[in-house]
Amino acid sequence: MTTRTSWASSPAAAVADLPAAPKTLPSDVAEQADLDARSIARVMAGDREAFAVLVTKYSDALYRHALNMTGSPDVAEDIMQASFIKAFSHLGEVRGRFDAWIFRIVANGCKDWLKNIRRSHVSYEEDDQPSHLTTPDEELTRSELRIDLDWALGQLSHSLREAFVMKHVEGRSYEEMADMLDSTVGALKMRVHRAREALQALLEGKYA
Amino acid sequence: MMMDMNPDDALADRDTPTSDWRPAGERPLSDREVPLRHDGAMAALNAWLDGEAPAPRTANSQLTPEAELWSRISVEAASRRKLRTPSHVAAQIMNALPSSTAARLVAAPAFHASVTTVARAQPAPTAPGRISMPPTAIAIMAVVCMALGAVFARMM
Repeated sequence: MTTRTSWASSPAAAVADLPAAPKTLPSDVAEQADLDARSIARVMAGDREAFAVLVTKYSDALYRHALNMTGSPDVAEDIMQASFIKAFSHLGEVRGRFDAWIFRIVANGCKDWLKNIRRSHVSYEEDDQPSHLTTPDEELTRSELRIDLDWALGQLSHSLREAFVMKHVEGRSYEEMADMLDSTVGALKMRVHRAREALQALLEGKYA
Repeated sequence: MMMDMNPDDALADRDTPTSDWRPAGERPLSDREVPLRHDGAMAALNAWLDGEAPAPRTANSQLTPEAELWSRISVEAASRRKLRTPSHVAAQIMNALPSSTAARLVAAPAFHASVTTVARAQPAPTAPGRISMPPTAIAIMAVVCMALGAVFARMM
């Protein structure tokens, strides 16, 4: 497999990319919260375009989360749109940080989608592959590990998948995760460890 | 799509005990409540991935097969971290926003303590074509109206 060869040839480079959790200073968080509050106040005063500032600011991180939780770009877009519309309609109910609040809305949207998928017994592998896999060229460029990782993530429970995605894909620190999910560092560490063990059990037969 | 707006429910199922009666080893991976393995290799991997220890290596100073797998997973994760929202999504969201924002008529927003100063500095939200008035002003106006009514009644 070509991808394995390329990575194996530079393990040092690969290791250098390992847990690079961004450190967010509390002052930065407070500053961002103040900026968001200004935007919210402008929206509440009737300036619709001020909402675009919030959409632009947080859409990338939220889209990444939704995409990695659902595995489908189309579903991720739907969840994003529904979440921001909900946020716009309930902006007066924001408590605390806007980024954590909108993250919860998106996370709940992902959770509901996953629940409905499992309840209706639709096969994730068969019916919910990312739509961009439909073209042969794009399918060729996607690595085998990427596909296998998507499949393995689909086998995890919502809570384990969420913890793994936040830690490894979004690169958040445990402290930041605890803040966003209103949980403790210890509980989240345990969830990430369980997710890693489950993923390793699913993938090591083929890769390790 | 049904959206759950209650943030407290976001993790409602995180500690829900499984009703599956089968032994842990026979249950699907997603249902297991305990770590699958407690061996030293997995602990070393977790410590490395959490940035608390160096990468586990073999006697030949090579990464262990498990560590190599996680190196590759980390490369894949790092590439996903660079993913950006498709360009049309922001415009799509803005176009889909409701025209009338009932939320702006909701009682004063309760921002976090750190942002209340900013919120206070902004003008009070007022819907176009509507007059907002503090309760004390309404009470004073009511008293004045009643007094005027009493005066007119005496005059007649």
